[in-house]
Amino acid sequence: MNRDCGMGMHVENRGIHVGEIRVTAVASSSVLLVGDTETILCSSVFDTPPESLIVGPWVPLAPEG
Amino acid sequence: MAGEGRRTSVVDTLRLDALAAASSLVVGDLERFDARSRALAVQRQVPVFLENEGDLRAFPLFSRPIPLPGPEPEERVRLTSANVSPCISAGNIRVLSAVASSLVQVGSVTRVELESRVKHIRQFVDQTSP
Repeated sequence: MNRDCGMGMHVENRGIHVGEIRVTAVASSSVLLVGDTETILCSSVFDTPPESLIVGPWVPLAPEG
Repeated sequence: MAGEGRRTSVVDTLRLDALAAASSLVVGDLERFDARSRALAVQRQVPVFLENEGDLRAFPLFSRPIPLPGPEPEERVRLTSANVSPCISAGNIRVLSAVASSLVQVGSVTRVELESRVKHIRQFVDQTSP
């Protein structure tokens, strides 16, 4: 395929000034950035399945060694 | 003059109270930033926790591969940018906390890769069992 037929995008970064930024939490693979970037890849796995509710006698979780 | 590449970041004040679990506050430019964090979040009716508990290898969640976007298509979007203004700026930044593979940065970074895995477990004592 002729590469000249692809899509082009041009960005002009003019003056930007944000007065105030208030954030409660940046959490679980998140980014707060004042600047330029090319690639950001964030993954977050969060698991609370039904079997994670354990009712029974107190037992330690997966002891090491 | 319109420049190429990275702009200069300008911030008047930055206040960050808590930074934890593979998170960073960066002032300046980076080529690459990677962070990984894994956690067991255990809530117990009887709050007793042993030192050698929680071998993460026992939970598939922590080793399961995460599906990522495939390779870029051959014909990608041609992105060009012109920095008419050489600066990107903010006045006051107030952040309470940055946790679990997070990044707070004043400056530029070419590539960021973050991964966080959390497994929640709640344990209750069964009063009816012998």
